[in-house]
Amino acid sequence: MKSIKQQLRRARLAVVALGLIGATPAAFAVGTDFGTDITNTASVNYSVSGVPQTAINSSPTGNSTPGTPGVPTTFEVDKKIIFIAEETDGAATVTSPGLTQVVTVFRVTNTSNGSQDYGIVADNTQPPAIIFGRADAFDMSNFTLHATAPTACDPGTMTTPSFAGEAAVTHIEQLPEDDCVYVFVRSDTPVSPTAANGLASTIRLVVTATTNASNGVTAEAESGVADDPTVVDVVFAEAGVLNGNVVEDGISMAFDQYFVGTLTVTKTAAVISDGFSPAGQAKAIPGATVEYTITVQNNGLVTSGAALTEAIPANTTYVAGSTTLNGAAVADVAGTMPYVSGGAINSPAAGAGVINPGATAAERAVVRFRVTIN
Amino acid sequence: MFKGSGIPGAAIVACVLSSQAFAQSPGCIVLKTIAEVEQVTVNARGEKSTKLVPAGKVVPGVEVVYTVTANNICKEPAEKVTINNGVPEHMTYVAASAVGPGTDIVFSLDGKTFGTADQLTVQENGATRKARADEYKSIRWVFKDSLAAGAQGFARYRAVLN
Repeated sequence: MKSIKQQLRRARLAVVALGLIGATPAAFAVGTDFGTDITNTASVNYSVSGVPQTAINSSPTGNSTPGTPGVPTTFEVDKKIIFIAEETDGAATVTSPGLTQVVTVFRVTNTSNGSQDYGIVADNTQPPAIIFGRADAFDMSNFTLHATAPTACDPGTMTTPSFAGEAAVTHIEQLPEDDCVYVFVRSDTPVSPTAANGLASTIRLVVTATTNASNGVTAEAESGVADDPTVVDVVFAEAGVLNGNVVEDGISMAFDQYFVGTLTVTKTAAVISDGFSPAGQAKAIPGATVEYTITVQNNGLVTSGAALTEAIPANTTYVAGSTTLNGAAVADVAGTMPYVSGGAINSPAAGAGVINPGATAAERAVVRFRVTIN
Repeated sequence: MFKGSGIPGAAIVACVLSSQAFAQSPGCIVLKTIAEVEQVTVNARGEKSTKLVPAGKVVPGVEVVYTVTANNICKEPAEKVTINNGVPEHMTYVAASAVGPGTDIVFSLDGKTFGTADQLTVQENGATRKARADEYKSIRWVFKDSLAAGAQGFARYRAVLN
């Protein structure tokens, strides 16, 4: 949050500078770039015996020669490494037993005062606390990492881009300040029963600030106590503490989860009419018509042969010909509701038995039928 | 005079150069600027103490203490002494941080017009308001009294790295 305050302050300064001297405001960066020399020379005017003397400019060790430029008192801006690795969509990635190279997405944002290399590694190491409410039940394998090109980032707007065949990488090369990359972690799901319906695997992405041209191998190290004003020292300033992260250690970790998909079935009942009440106020009295709605949602499974078996509730009588699948009539079987004997269901526009993964109306299978209360 | 060739001519040129250098040297004041940062140390009893160390590890957000000293090395007093220092590029002056014993301190937004904190104004959105300290671009210490022979004038301020 501090950096946002600084940016705001700098924004105000830029406005003032514009008004005063017509300067072009610079793009808002996180701070003065590392490697910049900050120079400062003071000057003194004085008189001796009433006679004005030539001004003297300062030096770091003291200058008394008038009319010379002096020597600027200079230090070099050091590297303040601030970055964060984040899971992008706040939810588990659905997989299926045996499914290979399943993609999950992280974002790495560099807010250091300059470009920075980062080494990236994914593994099965667990966070101190479970994420997304599910314990880790199996390990993924064969991790490969891929990254988008750096882009300007909006810290407040997280997107989850789709993997588009980006080349495999082991590090992020020279991520410009205030830019981010999206990292695609791909890994293989074990076969059943190791990976089974409802089980989850939590994985970790470790991002380490590394020195330039080391291909993500050599971690940056904070300089010792002895400072050198002519050398770019390193200061770790990243602040993340979630999920076992340690502040100011030059490493940021994020966790994501793979979840073996399931079908979710919901069933609701609504009284359509009771023969007495006005529309919309029908009561569940004997003789009233009740419509049941069964919604089947696929949370990531690759399905075929999805079938529904449904019984007519006790103390009710099926309304002949009232069954629909995704709005289309389904003929009664043996004079009763067709799914009493079991029948294939599917997403609208999908083949029999296929329910496409997803939560929208185009993907869910919806069965409706009506009964009257005895 | 410079027609001579060989070593004698070279000796004359060297002589002229050295006399030019002599004409420039030295003024009556040795002016020195140092940049330092505060280092907080905690002793065995847990007591904190702060000392100034040379500015080495400076990253954005760090406050730098600039100290300017003016030593009068002549036998006569230096009169009307004023020390000028522009706030360095990439740095922002820290409010109320300028000090200087025996001086009046004035500031400038453009390095030309100086005034006290109450005198500096900024036009913003068609209105006039008092300038904020973080808008000061230059600082001037005007010594009220002459700087006696052998005496030292002292000026200090803080600026934070943007």
